[in-house]
Amino acid sequence: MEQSGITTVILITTLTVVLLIVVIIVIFSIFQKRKVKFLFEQKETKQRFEEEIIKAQLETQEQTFQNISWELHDNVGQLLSVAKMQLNMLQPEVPKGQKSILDETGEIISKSLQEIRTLSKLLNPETVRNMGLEEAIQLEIDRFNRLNFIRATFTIKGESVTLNQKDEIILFRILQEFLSNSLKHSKASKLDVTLTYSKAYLIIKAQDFGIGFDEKTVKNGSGLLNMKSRAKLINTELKLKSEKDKGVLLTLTYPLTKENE
Amino acid sequence: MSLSTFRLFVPFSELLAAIVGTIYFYKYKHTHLKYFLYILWYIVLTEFTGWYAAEYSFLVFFDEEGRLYNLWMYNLMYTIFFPVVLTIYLKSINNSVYKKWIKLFIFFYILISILNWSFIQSFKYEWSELPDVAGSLFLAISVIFYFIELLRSDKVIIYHRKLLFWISIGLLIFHVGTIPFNIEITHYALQKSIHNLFLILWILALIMYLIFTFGFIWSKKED
Repeated sequence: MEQSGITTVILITTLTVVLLIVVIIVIFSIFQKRKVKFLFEQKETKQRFEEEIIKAQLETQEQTFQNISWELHDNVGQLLSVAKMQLNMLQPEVPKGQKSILDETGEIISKSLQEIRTLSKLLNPETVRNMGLEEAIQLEIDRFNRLNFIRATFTIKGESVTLNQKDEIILFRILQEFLSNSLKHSKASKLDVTLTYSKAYLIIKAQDFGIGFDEKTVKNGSGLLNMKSRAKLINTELKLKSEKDKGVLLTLTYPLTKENE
Repeated sequence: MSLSTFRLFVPFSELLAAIVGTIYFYKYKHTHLKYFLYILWYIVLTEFTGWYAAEYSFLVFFDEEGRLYNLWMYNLMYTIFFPVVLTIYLKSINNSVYKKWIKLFIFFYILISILNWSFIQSFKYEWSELPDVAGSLFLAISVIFYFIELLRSDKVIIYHRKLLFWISIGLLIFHVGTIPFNIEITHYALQKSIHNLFLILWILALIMYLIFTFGFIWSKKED
């Protein structure tokens, strides 16, 4: 074979080989892109599924709360009312010396009735929805103050904005859970709740000044995880900061400008 | 531009790749890819020593007709290059079947090299085409293994930000692209006109080292 002939043959084979490699790389890229797309879709589906589960859980919880609320209002409330009426009927027949005890008992029953009505209101999603977030929080804070061992304050800063009712309930439930935990475990004597409305966010801060907890040892209790997943559902950032003997601070950052209603 | 001028691009592209690789060494110094940088510097060293040797008749051999040969340096370089690069793939791949194959490749490459230099070719006077062709094929298959593993992985891997992906492309283009050249050169290496063909080799080498350089810059820090 002639030299130039060989040169051409080698040139053509080399070009073919290089072209083949380029084709392989292109095919590889296409497949890889498809795979990544598929993986993303899979992840999205999973996320949507998890969201649905949380939503269903929330709905069940609200339903349960509503039932308890009705039960408290219609059943226990009615019984207490009847008890009070009967006490009143007893009033004229009681000797003077025991009258004060009777009056005290009547007052205790009245207070119980009031507590149960407040509790019933705060548990019932319908009434919370009608009251709005601020009033519901105020009611809860008042209830705490009536317990006489904790001094709770509630402050609103900035101009109030009407929120989505469903989101309001979720925010309120998260706050409620935090407050009842504080009440149970923190041994705090002081509790502050602040709502701050800014242009883009509603920031809810709740701080107790109790014994707190060590962030390292109590990292992810089911309660905290539960709160977090619920916050995530409404695009809210949840932060829980605590130091031993310094209390706990909960911060919820809820975006006011939202595209998904 | 004359052929000999163009030839100069290759060592300098090697040097560029090695320098850029050193600058971005922090991205991959904790992985097995660090050996790739070492081998890159070794290639640069070989290239410049080879050039110096040819220029000043230093550490070279002459045949009966008085022609100068510095080929042993390149032959030595390739004999070290293939096992090291194959080892990098061996360490980067998880699949045990592929690993077994790559181990076999390394073993056979070394075996072929020993047999070739002992019985077939002269280490001093001949271009190492037989081990080169074998090594290139082994390398190509290892690269394909690596690609298959990337495709099969169910993690989202941003492959085009991975250094080994670009190294693989460069290696594939040069080493597979030069297989036809290596097969032919056996018979015509000493004939003057075949020198035009070296142009293919140099262009492919230039492309390879530029791809390496790009890979060093574009890749993200390895986990």
